[in-house]
Amino acid sequence: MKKNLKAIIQIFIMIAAVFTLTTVFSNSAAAADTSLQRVKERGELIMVTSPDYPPYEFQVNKNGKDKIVGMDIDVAKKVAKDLHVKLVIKSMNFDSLLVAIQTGKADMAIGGINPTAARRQSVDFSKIYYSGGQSFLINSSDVNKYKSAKNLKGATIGAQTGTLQYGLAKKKIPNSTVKGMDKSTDLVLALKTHKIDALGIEKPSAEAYVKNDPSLKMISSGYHLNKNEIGAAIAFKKGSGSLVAAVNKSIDQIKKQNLTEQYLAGAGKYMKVNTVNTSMFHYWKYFAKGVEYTILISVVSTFFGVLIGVILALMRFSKQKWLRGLAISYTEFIRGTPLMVQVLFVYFGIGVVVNIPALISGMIAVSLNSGAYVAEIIRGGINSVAKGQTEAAASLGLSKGDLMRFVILPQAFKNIWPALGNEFISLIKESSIVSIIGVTDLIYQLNIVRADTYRGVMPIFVAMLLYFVMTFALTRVLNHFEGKMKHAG
Amino acid sequence: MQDKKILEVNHLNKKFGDNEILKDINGTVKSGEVICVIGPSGAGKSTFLRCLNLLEKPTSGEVKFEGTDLTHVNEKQLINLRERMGMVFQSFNLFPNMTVIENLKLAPIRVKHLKDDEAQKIAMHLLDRVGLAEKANAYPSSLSGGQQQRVAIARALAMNPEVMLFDEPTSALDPEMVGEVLEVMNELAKDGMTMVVVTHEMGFAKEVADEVWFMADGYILERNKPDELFDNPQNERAKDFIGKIIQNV
Repeated sequence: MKKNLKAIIQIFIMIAAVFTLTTVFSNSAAAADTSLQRVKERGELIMVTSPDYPPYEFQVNKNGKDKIVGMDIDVAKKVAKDLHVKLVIKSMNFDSLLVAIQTGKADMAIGGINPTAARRQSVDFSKIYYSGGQSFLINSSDVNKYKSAKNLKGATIGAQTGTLQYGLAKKKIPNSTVKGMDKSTDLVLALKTHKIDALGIEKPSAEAYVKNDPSLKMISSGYHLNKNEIGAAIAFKKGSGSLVAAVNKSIDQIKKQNLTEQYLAGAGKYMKVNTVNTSMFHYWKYFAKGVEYTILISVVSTFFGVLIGVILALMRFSKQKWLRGLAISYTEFIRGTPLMVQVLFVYFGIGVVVNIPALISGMIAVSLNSGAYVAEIIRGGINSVAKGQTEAAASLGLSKGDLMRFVILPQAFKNIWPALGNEFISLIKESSIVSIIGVTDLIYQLNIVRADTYRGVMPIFVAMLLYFVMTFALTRVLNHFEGKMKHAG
Repeated sequence: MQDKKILEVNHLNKKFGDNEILKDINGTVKSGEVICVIGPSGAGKSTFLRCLNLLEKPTSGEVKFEGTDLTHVNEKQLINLRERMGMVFQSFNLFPNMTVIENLKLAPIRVKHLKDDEAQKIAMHLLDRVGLAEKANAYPSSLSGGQQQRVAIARALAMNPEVMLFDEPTSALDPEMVGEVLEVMNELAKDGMTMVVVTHEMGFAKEVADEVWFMADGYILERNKPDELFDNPQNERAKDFIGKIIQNV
């Protein structure tokens, strides 16, 4: 008990150290404003967005190539052009956008972000480039029930988690229950299946949905709001004054020439392209890319997971107390924290010190996570090998290394093969969590297809089938090897 | 017969917790001798045998192999000395993940650094000697208990040991398979192998042993030529034990 306590304390000290380090780094980065200079020197303006929010930003398949388009993208393009740099677009969850700029993953975040007072405390904002206004989506069948926002009293209202709409619904609709979800596509589906009565959403998005889906209608929010609560602005890391000033010049021009109207019209055209053919076959390339990345992450993470697992398991049998302690602490800590948090920590937390791309971060997090589980499986396997085997090997003069390599591990692996297979299969499925940092795995692609086609269920079904095909194929392979090992004794 | 001491045990004690298993054991095994250790279960026979190659670490006392005290060498030296002492276990302990021939070749290749073809030659010769050459490529699980134990003996012999320790080699076998294993051991004794055998096979002990040690309650109570010990035991416990065994036969 005492030992465990010591290990836990050690872990906390470790975490505290990493935390302090990251804070120190992020603060020192903010000390001098080199934001504009850095962008110009690099020749690239890195922007993050969450492309599942038409007409602000969404993906289209143009001439067989994926492309992120929308009003916000046009705004960003204009900004980049005025700065004479190239625009680089990174995509991730809306929730993660502000974290991404705070941790230096990108220079700016765009995505219909409302510059609220709360957000201003953690990031800098440009001037507002567009004021859309707030509205609600409702089911066409409820048109008579919810004639205006006043009728929503006591209703269940959905909104994207972390958005202004979420907070507004809570504050301004009396007695309402507010349900938050990550994706607007999920929310629309929730609305259509009557899990929620209305969906708080920006007006341009609502208009887009209504145009594409006759079962939906839009009503005005009736909110009386100040400019900051209805307008969209670009977010920057705190202390990026020089970059903000430069961007504001572009925004002034956009407003003077009323360019957003033009941008919205362009976005509308793209949306029509997307919805001309919403059959899943039309989007097979999206799914193919998702499958490709899911397999890539799974294969790499399985390999390193097993490697880490073997090392940890051997550490558990070491004579060195500190090696054993380290392995135990690692396993306990990794198993005691959610994979999602680990993914976020590797990408954003460690990312402050070393900038690791999203795909690699995802692989690292999933490998580290799987390693802890594999280690426990292997430890069990090693313990399952009869003691007589060790004694026989010792009596023949075999070294400890040879004993492990030729006698114990081959038998252990045979014994644990089913458990290990289980771990590999769950790894394929759990790897889907990397979509939150914008890795284009199957889940991520699924959400893109849902946003593009306005079809809520069919893409889920396709993804489900694809996951099943992958895990089923893996099961066959695992069974094949299990059969082979059975033959060998 | 030479007089070279292979094994020498002085004041050997072994405790598991408060439980004293071996009490002040002394004894010498000379080159070419066959010693059979008999006695009731719980006497400490197996523990004694396992102390000889330090699979069990003695609580106190000396275990000398060719003059080197095994209780005072480091791990590496112990591994080097162990390869010269073959051991055969009650439960065979063949490596199930390897074929018979691989079982035999592993230690010669990994420990003695023999080339594959040399190891192969030795292994095939030994398999032939225990009458299992045709099973070279079979896996242990497809063999009978008697066959597995013969392979285990061959595996120990492949390291060309100075002494062979047998820990109740026939106790786990069906009666009809005991004979084939004893026959191999008999041949081995005739070839001059030094052997320490913990056994319940009194016939084998009588026929093959140079000396029989009777153990009970952690002591060696009597040691004598087999004829003397079986026909005219001096110690009361030995008398009692042998009387019961003969009744049962």
